[in-house]
Amino acid sequence: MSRFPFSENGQAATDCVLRVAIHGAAAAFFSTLCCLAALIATSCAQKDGAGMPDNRGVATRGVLRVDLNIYNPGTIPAGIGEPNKVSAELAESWQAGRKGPRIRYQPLIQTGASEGEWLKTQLIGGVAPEIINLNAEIAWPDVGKGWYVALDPFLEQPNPYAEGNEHWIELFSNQDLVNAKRAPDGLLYCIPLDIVETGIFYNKDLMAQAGITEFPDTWHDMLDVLDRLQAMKLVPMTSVANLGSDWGQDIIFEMLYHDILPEMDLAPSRPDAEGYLGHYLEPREAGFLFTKGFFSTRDPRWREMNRLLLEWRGYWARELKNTDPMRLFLTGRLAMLWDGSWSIRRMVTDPYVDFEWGIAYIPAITRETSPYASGTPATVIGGAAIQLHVTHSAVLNDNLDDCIDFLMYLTAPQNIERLASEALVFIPNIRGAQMDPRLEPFNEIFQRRYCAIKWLESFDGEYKKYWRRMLDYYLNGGVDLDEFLVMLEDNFAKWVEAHRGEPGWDFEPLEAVWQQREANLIRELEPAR
Amino acid sequence: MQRAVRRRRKADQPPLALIYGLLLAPAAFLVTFNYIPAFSALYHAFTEWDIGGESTWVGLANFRALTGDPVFHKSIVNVAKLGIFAFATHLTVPFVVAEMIFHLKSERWRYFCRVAVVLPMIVPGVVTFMLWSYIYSDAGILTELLVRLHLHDWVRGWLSDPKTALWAVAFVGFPFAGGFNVLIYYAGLTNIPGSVLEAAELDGLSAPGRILRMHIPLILQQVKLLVVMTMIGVVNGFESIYILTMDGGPGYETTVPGLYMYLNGFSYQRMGLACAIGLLMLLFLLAFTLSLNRFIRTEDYEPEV
Repeated sequence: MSRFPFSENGQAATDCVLRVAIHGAAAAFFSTLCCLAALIATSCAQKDGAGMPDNRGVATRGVLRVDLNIYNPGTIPAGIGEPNKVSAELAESWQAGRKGPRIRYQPLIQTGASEGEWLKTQLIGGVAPEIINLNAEIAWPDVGKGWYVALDPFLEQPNPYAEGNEHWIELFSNQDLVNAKRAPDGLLYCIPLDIVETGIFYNKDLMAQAGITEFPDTWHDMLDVLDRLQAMKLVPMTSVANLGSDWGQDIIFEMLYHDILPEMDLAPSRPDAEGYLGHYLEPREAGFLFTKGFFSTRDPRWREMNRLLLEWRGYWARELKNTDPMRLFLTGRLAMLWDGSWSIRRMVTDPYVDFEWGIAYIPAITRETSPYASGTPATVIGGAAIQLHVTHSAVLNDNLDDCIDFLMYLTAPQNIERLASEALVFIPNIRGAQMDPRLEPFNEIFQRRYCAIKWLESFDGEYKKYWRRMLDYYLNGGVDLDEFLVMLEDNFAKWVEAHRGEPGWDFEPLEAVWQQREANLIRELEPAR
Repeated sequence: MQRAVRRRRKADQPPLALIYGLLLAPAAFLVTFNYIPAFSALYHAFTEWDIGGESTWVGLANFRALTGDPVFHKSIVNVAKLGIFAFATHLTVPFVVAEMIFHLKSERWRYFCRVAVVLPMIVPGVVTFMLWSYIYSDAGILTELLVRLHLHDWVRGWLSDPKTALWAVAFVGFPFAGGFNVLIYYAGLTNIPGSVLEAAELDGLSAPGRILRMHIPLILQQVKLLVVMTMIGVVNGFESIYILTMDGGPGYETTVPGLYMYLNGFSYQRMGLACAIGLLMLLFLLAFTLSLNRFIRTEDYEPEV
């Protein structure tokens, strides 16, 4: 019996082939090991410089890993035009003649979940990029863990790259917006580099065919216009990525509750952010008001908000999730597209745009539409776009000063202007930085009040996911308004129960204010005559 | 002399240690990435566990939670509907196609048809699902076709409408005529000895009679294999639903146990519950396969000599 597990019947040739094969496999195996070792050694020894994005997540000394999101080199904003180059050039010029770490752009891995599970794993391991873009509200629950660096002391220093600047913080043009990004502990962990806003791109040619010469001023007129467009077998209006339902409920909410918001705002916003967050309801306030009957089946405005949303949805694309609204718009099958300022880039560069178009905003809801309407203009949905945080990797890798210096360099007016002009998606939030005039309509819209609450962003975890899912179900005819309101109420109750008593969820101060305003507010829970 | 030959061969052969050494690497990968996670999931089905945190033994609590979970119940109903549809289409249409190819006279045409049905397999599944997502969209082919035919009232949000979403998912892959299943059936048909086919013809058996009385009984092994594979695909698969509807919506209209397992594990941070769902799926598939083997016995055809 051979110890070699093959036939022993004199198959010398076969043995020979097998022997060669096995020796070859062994050689290949060890060669692969050697190559792997060599690759690892090379990547460690390699000099990292600015260039195309790199996904390596290994903390490396001598390198600053930076995520500028839509400004990263190689990124094609809005999916059209030339890839970004300016961020790489800025990194090169910052590094030139300077001793210290080099910039390596490293985009964050998008997991598709706004909670940023991937980033959390990196932060726990201390290997996250030093500078990352993240919505400040997502970072807030984690600032107490020491994962982010408070930037306040640095913001008080002068920015040497901005001429005449004495305090870096003064360089930001919208101070209310900056202060609105302060974490609940009062500290600022991010730099709101620029501003994003939404608007309605509308096809003037299609509107003219429907006999419409002006964009409607009121919600009532808008529904009339949408009716006429629908009669032309067009998709009258829709939003990008099914965000219309999310944005829509925030906008309608404010217009229906506007008159009673000063009373409902039991915990006023920071005075230094009042211009942006005036009467904004924080999650704790929303939770408290729910326990008093607001945002429940008892609340007539709440019912009205969801009724109007469903009525509006009747004019949107049938397939909300899978439809590419930009394609519909460009091919003349969609008359109005509710989208972000980032789409301006496509609109001004896409060769398919062979029609007259304009930018407008959601019109005001008036008493013609609802007895609860305030008649005030619809609020802003956007806000800070790129929000740069410095993670504790900068402290661990001993390059915090370099991170701050690079951020100062980026926020110098001449540099942010170059970044913003190349991308043509957001409005720079830096004094002295010129905005591309094509973004002006969005800048005008941004001068309005901010919405009173971002409902889905206020909720978290499974409660947020459930709301989003059920909203989608409701808007697609899965349940009627009464059933939907019961679902929302149930979800709200569970959410409040899960958070009640947590830090930042103290109801006692709110209760004291409520006692003073109870009579007025309880009256608002009665249906309008 | 014999001893000398044996000694020389021994010297020529690679050492046994090398062979087993080479086997060690794949074995280590197999254990690390296949067996350990599988056994870990078995254990964690009885725990409350969020990835990265400590797991706590909760006994049968996860299974009790599932028995009272309406979403899980809904997912079972959905997968049952998808399963019935899959059996009705993925097992029958490929059989018809295989029969048609088998009955072609020209070998060249048979070869061409075989290639034609296999060719779509080179397109990755994700691409297929994304294509279907586009087909169902407002700017998609289906909507365009209906509009061109002036059937405006028929147009709907196929994946958004709760009434059509599950069936829209089920119809992905229409006309279900290509791929692996056709090849399996065709291989079974070509395995039927020519003498048997000739005898049937001489006995005057009609074409439908031949298919029903001879082909099907003789390819029962292939049918069994495809039944098992279809069932595994239906129960475990959720990629199409994840790509087409993103979350098993609208509501829970397209949620299946596989997707619910994924959502629990990676979105709701309830990995223990996800493992429990996984274990139930495994037990179901095991029971199904064993039952099939027990109740549908097949033997290789051995012609009498």
